[in-house]
Amino acid sequence: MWTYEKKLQYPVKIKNPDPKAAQIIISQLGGPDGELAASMRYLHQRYSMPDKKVAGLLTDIGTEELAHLEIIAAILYQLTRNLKEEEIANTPFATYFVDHTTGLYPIAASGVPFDMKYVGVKGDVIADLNEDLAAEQKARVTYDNILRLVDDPDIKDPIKFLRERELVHYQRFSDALRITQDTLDAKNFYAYNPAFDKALHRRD
Amino acid sequence: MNDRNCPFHSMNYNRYGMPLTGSRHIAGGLSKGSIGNHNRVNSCSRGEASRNATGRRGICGCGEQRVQERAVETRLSDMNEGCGCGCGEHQDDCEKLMKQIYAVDFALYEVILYLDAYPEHCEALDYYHKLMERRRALHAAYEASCGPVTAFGNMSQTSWDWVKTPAPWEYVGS
Repeated sequence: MWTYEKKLQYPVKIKNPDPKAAQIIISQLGGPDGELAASMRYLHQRYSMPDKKVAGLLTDIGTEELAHLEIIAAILYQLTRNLKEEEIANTPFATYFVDHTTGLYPIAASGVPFDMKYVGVKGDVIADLNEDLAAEQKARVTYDNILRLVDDPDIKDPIKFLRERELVHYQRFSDALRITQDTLDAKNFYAYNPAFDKALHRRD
Repeated sequence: MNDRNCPFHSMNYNRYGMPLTGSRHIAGGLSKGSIGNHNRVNSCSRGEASRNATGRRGICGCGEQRVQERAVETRLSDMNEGCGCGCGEHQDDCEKLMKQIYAVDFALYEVILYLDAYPEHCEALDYYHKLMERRRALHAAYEASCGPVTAFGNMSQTSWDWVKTPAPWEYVGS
């Protein structure tokens, strides 16, 4: 089960509200490669992992992604505080504001609400780990794009932290994939689904 | 797994994870009591006697009595970096402590993710335990005077500080 720590994983101190930046950054909250998608992906894939190390890694990275979701939420909260009407009207943020005011609703920058279709849980170790590798790279690209579009150093600081964490997660998933490939039967690599068949358990 | 048979065991730490040479200094002060009866914004009242349940008085050059919670005293007995008891500096102490907690938690998460893939790596495990000691001390110091980190860390007997401290997403201007 989860315990909550009343602290962010990385501090967020944004002096100047900016709803236009919020409109972009919200994709990491509810977009296809955002932190909600990442945490749901890893926390659900872990149940069908026969190797305890991989299940443990998915649990811990999934938990960290929830913490990142909170950092994104903190960024958005601080970007949309104390707004005047003229800062909202005639900006792209107005279409979000009319439905959600300055509440935090998981949605992509395009306006598409979060969809579990962004998350793949195939129940197969090789398929799931490869999905995770791709997911981390896509998240990294999204953060790169945010850094291209945003100038305020107060915003860039936590975004750069989150981007670096995606790279580290990619390396950890690479470890997990290599470990999995070492323990699979080399001759029977793709012929069976180790998460479904009991053969892998008997090997332990 | 027996540490002494581990080929990677560095033997530079005792079995509690504390280094065998040099002493650790953990910055940040411990000031009186819980925030339930403490005005965080306008800081502490200088000169007010402050003792914890054991009646211990900490060592501090500025004259204000400081208390050390029993939970941390054995680990922070060599702590002397800064008095940390000046009025108006309580919030700075909490910020300083929290910065150190950020740092130790970050290092811990790195080693945790590494150990998930390499559970028998002794050096990493040693490093994990070293960091955990520091984390326990920092958490105890933080929860003694700044506020709970988890709902299981509300030290005050008179106030449910868990819902009174600012939310982590609030903007706290400097």
